[in-house]
Parts: sequence; structure tokens; C-alpha cells
Amino acid sequence: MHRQIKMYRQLRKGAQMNRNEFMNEIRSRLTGLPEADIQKTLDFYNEALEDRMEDGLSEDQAVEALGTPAEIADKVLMETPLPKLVKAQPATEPRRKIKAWEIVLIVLGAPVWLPITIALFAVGLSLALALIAVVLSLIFAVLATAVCGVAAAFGSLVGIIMGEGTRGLLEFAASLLAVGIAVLLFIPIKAGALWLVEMMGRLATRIKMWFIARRNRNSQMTDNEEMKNA
Amino acid sequence: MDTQLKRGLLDICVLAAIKTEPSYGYKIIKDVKPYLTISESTLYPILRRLEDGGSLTVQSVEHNGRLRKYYEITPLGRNKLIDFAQEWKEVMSIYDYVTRDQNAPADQNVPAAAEGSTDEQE
Repeated sequence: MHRQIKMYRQLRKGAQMNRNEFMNEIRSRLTGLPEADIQKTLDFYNEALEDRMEDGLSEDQAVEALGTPAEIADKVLMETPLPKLVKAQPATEPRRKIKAWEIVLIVLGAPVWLPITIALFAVGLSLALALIAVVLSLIFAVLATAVCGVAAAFGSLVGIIMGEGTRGLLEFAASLLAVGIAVLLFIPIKAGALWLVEMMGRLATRIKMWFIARRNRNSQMTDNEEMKNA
Repeated sequence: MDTQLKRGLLDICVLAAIKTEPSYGYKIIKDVKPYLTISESTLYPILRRLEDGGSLTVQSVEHNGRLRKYYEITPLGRNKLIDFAQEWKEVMSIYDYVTRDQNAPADQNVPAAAEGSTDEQE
């Protein structure tokens, strides 16, 4: 059944889709997501179609007004949290049989590709962690400077009252200097922290885009193979 | 328009569309369209995000023998609109400053400082 829909879709590529084909295509592009999510999406687009048809559009016009299933599915996938997206991945993986010599090659090559892959992942991870650590430590350094400055200011004031004279004044000046530096540094540090958060957000978006592109490629491959087998 | 900016504005426009009374998808699109390009494929993720964030709630209401989802704004969503208005008041004053016509007769509240400085140079 599913295969027939896919074949039909291939044959009619570029042609006007009817409502059922439209819904089925969205569903197949979302394969792997929790069923509740898929159903919610389909309900939404069904309602959109009904409302447009009630507004006087024909079924074909209403379907066309909603955009292509690819667009719709990609936007839904982009809004899906990354872990959920990764979990939804295997369902669309091409079910191609791995040939015997490929297995042999993979196993024999393991001493080479395994350490390299692990090393690459480790390097990437450690770079990201180092960046986060640098920003965090700067934030703490500034905070510590501020706290120490305030504490030292009070301390030296007590010293001055107790009669420490010049030394007390010198300490007081130094502590005020520390507070001043901390306040000045607060602005660039805040900007740095915000930048880091934004960069992490962008990285997540990139990874998602990559995942979605791979999903779409894979499902196209399965389509083509099924066409050949038919 | 800058995509990041548009994304934020779309959320606000959707909240504004349900501000006075609960509304449904197609009507929201028709209401927002004069201001920003919006389609179902853009609206759907926004509605889900706003629902997950607690800015709106969803009720299914029967309409012509089928169910239609109505979106209703929550106090949290209203607060977002208030924050937006506050923030953009500042932006609008910057807009006025940036687009002020330089050839127009000088405003009363600006030139005092400028004249003062030229005097000093002379």
C-alpha cells in the first residue's frame, strides 16, 4: 500500500496532487516522529484545507495554496528538538543489504577508521567545551573581582577607622579599582556569553538542517529503488 | 526583512491576532497577511511553539460537522505583547531620530548643544 502511494507520487511528479496524496506525502515525510505529532500536523492541514474550501476554493486550489508537502514537512522537522529528530532518523534509513565484501572491509578497516572517527568527535567536543569553559571562567573571574572588591572596600574602611592610616587608604583605593574594573568588564562579558548562546543555537540549526537533508535524500533513494524493483 | 527579526515579529503578530477573541488557523492567516507574509507552513510551527511555551491554549470547537481548533491567548501571551510594545517604543524613538529630515527646520529639543559647541570653537 505504502509503496504504491510512493510509486504513484513518482509518476505524478509535477502534476497536481489531490488531497489524499497531499496528506500521505506529508505523513511519509514525517515518518519516524511520534504518531501523535504526525496526527496533529495532519489535523492542522486538514482543517486548513476545509476552511479554504469553505471559503470558495476548489480542492485542487486549496491544496496548491498550502504549499508543497516537502516545505511543510521540512518546517515541522526544523521545529522538532534535535534529540527527537535523531531518534526519528533510523526509520527512513535505506534498507539496502550490505554486501559481504563490504562487511569484510568495514571490519578489517576498523583499526583505521574507528580511532579517526573517535578522535574527530573528541576534538570537536573538546573545542566546544573549551570555548564554553573560557567564557564561563571569565564570567566567574569578573564576579569574583567584584565580590572581593566590595569585601576589601569594607575591610579597609574598618582598617582606616582602627587607625591603619596610609595603608588603609591604599587598600581602599585598590578595592575600589577592583570593583570598577569588574563593572567595566561586565559589558563585554555579557556580550560574549550572549554570543556563545547564539552560536550554540546556530550550531543546533545547522545540525538539524543536515539531518533533514539526509532524511530527504534517503527517502528519495528508497523511492527510486522501489521504482526499479517494481 | 531580517529573518531573525521577522521570526520574532511573526510570533507577536499571531498573539495579536488572538488578543481580543479566540481565533482559528485560517482566520489568523487572513488577519496577519496584510502585515507580514505568512502561510500555513509558517503558522503551524509558531502555534506549536507558543502552545508549548504556554502563551496560548487550544480548544476544539465543532463547526459545520467537523472540529476546528481555536487558539486562545493566556496571561503569559498577553505579557509578551506588553513587553513587545514597551521595547518597540524605544525602537520607534530611534527610528524618529534616524529618519529625521536634516533639511527641515531645526527641532527645539536638539540644536542647543550643537550651537553651543560651534560657539566654543570660534
